[in-house]
Amino acid sequence: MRHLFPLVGIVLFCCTALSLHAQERVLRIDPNTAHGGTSSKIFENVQYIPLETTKESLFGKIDKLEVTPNYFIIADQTTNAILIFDKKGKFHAKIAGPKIAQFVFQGQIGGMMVDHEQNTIIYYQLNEALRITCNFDGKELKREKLDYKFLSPYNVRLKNGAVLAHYFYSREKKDSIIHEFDVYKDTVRTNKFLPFQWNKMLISTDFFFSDGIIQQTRSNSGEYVYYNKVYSDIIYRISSDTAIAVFKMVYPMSLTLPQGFGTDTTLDNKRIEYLQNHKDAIYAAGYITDVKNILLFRLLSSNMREDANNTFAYHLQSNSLLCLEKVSSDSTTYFLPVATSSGWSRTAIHCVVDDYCYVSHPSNAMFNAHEVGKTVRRPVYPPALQQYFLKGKPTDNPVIVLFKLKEKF
Amino acid sequence: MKYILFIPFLLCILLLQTAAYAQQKDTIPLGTLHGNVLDSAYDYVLPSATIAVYKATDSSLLSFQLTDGFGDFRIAKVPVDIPLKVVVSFMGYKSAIIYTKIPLETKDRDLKKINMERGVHTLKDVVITRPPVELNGDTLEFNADAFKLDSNAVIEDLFKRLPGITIWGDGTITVNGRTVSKVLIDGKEFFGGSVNMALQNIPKQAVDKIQVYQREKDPTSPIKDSVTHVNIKLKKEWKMGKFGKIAAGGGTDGRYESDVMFSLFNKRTQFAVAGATNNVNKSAANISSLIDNGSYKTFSGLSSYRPNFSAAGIQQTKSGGFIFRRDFNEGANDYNNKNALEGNFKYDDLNTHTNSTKNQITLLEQGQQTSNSASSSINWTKRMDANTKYDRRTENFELTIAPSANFSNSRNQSSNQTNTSSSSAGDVSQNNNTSYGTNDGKQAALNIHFTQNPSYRGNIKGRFTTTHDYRFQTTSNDIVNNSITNFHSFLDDKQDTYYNRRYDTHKNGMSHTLDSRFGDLSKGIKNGKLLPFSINASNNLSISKDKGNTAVQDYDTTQKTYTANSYLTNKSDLLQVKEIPSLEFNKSIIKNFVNRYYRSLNFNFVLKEEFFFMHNNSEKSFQDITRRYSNFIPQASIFYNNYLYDRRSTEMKLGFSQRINYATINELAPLIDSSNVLYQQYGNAGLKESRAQELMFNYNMDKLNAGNPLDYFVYAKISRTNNAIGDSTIYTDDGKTRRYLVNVNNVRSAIFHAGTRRGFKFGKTLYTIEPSIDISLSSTPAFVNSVNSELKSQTYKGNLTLGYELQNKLSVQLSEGITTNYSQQDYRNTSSEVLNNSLRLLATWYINKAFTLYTDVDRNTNTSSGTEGVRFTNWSMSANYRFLKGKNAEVRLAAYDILRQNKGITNTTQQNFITTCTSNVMQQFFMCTIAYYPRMFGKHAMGK
Repeated sequence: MRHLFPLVGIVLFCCTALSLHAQERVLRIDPNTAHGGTSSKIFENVQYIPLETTKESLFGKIDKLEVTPNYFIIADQTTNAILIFDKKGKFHAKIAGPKIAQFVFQGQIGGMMVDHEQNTIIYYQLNEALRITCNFDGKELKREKLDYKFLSPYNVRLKNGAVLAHYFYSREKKDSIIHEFDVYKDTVRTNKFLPFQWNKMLISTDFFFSDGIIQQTRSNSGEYVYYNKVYSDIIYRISSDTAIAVFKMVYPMSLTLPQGFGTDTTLDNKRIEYLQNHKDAIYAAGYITDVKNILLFRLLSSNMREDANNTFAYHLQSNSLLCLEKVSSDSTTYFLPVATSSGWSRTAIHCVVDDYCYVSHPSNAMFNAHEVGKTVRRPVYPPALQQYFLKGKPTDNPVIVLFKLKEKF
Repeated sequence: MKYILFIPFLLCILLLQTAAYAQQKDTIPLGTLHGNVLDSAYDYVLPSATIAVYKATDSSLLSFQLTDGFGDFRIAKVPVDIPLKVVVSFMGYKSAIIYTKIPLETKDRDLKKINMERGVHTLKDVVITRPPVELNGDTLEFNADAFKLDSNAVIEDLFKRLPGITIWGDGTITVNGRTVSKVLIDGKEFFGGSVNMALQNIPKQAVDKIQVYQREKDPTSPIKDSVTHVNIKLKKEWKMGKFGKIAAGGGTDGRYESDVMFSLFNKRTQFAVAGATNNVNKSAANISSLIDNGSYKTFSGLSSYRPNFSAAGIQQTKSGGFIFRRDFNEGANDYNNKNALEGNFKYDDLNTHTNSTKNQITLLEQGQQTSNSASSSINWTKRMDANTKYDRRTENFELTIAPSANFSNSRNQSSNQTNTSSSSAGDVSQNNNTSYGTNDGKQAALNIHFTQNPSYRGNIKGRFTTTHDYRFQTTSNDIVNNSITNFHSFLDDKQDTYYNRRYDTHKNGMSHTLDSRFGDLSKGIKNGKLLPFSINASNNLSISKDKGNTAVQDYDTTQKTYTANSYLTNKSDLLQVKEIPSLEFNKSIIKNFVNRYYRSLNFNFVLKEEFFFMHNNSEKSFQDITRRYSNFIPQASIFYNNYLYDRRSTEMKLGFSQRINYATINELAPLIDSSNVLYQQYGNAGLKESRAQELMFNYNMDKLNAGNPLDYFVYAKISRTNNAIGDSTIYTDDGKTRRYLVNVNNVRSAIFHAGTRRGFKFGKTLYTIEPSIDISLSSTPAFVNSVNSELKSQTYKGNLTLGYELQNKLSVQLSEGITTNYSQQDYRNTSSEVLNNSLRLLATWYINKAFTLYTDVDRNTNTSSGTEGVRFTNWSMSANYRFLKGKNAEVRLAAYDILRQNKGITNTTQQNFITTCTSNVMQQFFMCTIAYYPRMFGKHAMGK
């Protein structure tokens, strides 16, 4: 009892000290001064894993990738399925949703997550409000009907089992307060972050629904995700307990939107037009994730070019900025694409697990690079790739590429 | 995304085909230059940077290339052991200049890593040496100054030097196999979209850069389709010019020709005036080709304005006219910022003398009749055509107002003698006719077009596209004619007739047409939620009124005056109203397997009803006819597009449509003019409207790999008509044809067309090959002397054109075409055949900068069953000498039809006829022409 007051005092003092340091760190990002390099200088331990293509295992592209010690678990919206491949790329199992035409809502499965403790895959069939749990062999274990408010296709399962769901629309009354992020432990909501008033929400015709902002990427530790709200320059780090503003992004004047672009009501309904007339203005940072002390993100603007140089790695210690598209592939990566836009234009880095970054490339891009490289540069492929180029076709399944970023880049 | 694929495809050509421009002899050895371009400050490679290799001594361009995805370049065929200047450039960077030499021993020079430094300013700065080609976003830009050409070179000469660009014999321009659908000067069409005017007159020095880019055909359509456009940007001081031509020539046989053309253009105005007079059958269909003819460079085979040796008759022409365009806003472009007034005016004074003979064999159910007719006619025509158009175009709407007027005045004099004989009775009759008369016509019309595109706003009304087209036309015609006919029958004197008839006709008419279209209506239903298909509504309404007043008189031989012919004298008033509402449903099924293929299947179904009302009021009560028709004519089509990423694109269309044809008053209840002794057509008031059903098929394939562009196309159409207006024809013993109109069912026809076009360009040589086939088949039920039969005809045409061009030296084109024409008469179990074979060689030899030699040899072979075959060769040659510093004075010596074999003969067979027509055509003559081309572009008079 004697030590209680000083103890409380110290704790309170520490809390205020902490809150004093809760100021976000300013990152000055000038895409023009980002440097590049060659694969041997930037990447290490690069591996290419072609995914086996059979009639059953053929899928469109990787929308979400989960990596477990033994498997790659892939969600693909175009074929409405979840596929499981082993670490060597061999097909293991498939969970097929109902056969539907592309982009039809009825029957679409989404919101895939992996429970690494129980070794199960959880996903939703949204129009029927079902939550389905399967094991890694594709066998269905449980099928539950839930209240629609627990189902968000844009969710991330954190390491401690909490599910972070991102909402940007609501079926509630227009004047109610919504939170952008809800944290759930099973079906119990434990936390909610980033409140906003529904009727002050940016109307749906006023911003681009970029996957990079709506869907959060799993970070290396698995304990939090990053989020940058559209038209704002603050990046939040959201965990199951807290949502802290960690970074403030400052871009060059010519690429920055006018002050208050997101909140000024006089701009309502005119934002998209403004962005179309200012194609280079950055409206958000998406696909934000981190590995060790490097922040990875993609700068989004309405410039729709597939080969734009807009994916960056920022070293938080040395403050150096690397543009991943400017890293040219060399003999260590067989002159094949590593982390360049073609083919990964919609998903950027899928996830970061155990310090490795995972990306994928469609087979037509791989074969194109192979055609160009084989005559002039004559790379020597590892056996898996040799087999792939010999027996495979440009219409085959995508290839997973994993790499580590070198310490000093 | 759609045209991103165009760029690597275009770049591949630049990487693979490095153009070598040195005038090298075979003894100079060639080597390779290679290296890597990077930004070493930021440590990354620069793809699509321009490497240009010049001769260090005189800075003449030897070769150029763009770097690949790894920043590497490898330029082969560069001369060794001579000092070279290599300039590396990239947007946003300072150009790097490297002086080097390829060693003779190794024939290889590695420039290693070329580091580029960022420039403080962008390319708008003056750069030491501008790169020959650059990729600016999605646009490929060629910088004209990098290519050193003769000081008298025009844009067309520059085009021929650019890799990947091919100019074909028919004037089409392709970039890597893709057809260029528009050539613009500073964003605007030049003199009405004339490609020749742009390419053949403007000097190459006036050009700043040539931009090649893709333009989306229809941004609202789900099908990815784009067209290639070329924009020629002129240098600031050269944005205006004056140029023209004055020429006069005389030749043997009293031949002469003279042309004058003068044009001027600046940032907001384009004006050209031209005049021509000749008696060598050179006429221009419109003012644009007349003005085109004044182009400085007319020897690329593109001009259609040449003496026409196959035209029937000899024509003396006097023509003139002008064309203009005035833009009301600065910085206009034809896509979304046009506010301009355009117009043209043409005046023609033509005088044509024609002498022809026609030998026609008519196959009867037993035996045949042969008619030999000889005619000669003289026609004098004066006409005037004026058209103006006001065009306003923005992102959201398009408005065009185009009034036009037309006057014509012609006088005609002709005579004809026809002798008919039959296989059974020998000579049966002789008919003589002379006629003379005048025809004066006036026409005025107004066309208004308006389209409004949906604007990006929330409300529904703003989301429709509406289009309206309105046309108003009024015409008036005064025809006076006198015709004397004398018919004598060798079989029966009592059939002899004589007519001396005078006609005085006044006609006038007025019509209004309104065509409207609204879409997509499905957005209006269901509160903005989309239906699974789109709905468009359209309506076509036309109203016309035609009045006619004819006074006919016959010469009374006893009273020696003209007395009225009450049967033929008539007044009539025809009202026609057509109303066609339609509702169009469109559904697209798109299957997109990401990174594999993009397939779309588009179903189109149109519900269409055609209402037609016709009311004729005439002094003759049997011509008081009122008809009402209502026909349901639905249409459907399926369009399939398969786009395989980076490999090829296939398009197929299958369409079904229907057309209704209505019988005219002359077919329902005509006034029979007995003075047309040999041929008379009787009406049939019971004629029903005909319904033609058509099925068409179209296939197009484009290979997208840069290596060997290929495209081919197939087109087929079959149609069947029921209740077609057909005939039951009676051929009398004394050679008269009496035609009775009846409805016949099952008239069938089919056409088929397939072809391809390949070009191979190697440095300065171009090889082209264009094969094509055309087939057309038809079958018509008819009654021949009351015998029910089916008359069938088939035509098969095969054509192969081979071309070879060595830039600025020689151009040769060889084409062979065979046309076979069959007709079958099942009522007598016979068939007849006509074969036409044409072999043509066109060659131009540019001996040096001053002399050009041109030759055209056309060998025609024509055979047909039952008549004598014909073969003749038409060989023409001309020699051109250009002199003065600017090469703008010219003397031409031309020899036409040197072998004096030209014949105007055509043989055809169809249904139950075999016909041979001969007419007088021009024959051998020689001509000497002198021309001067004054040219002034910017502030520079060319050639001074």
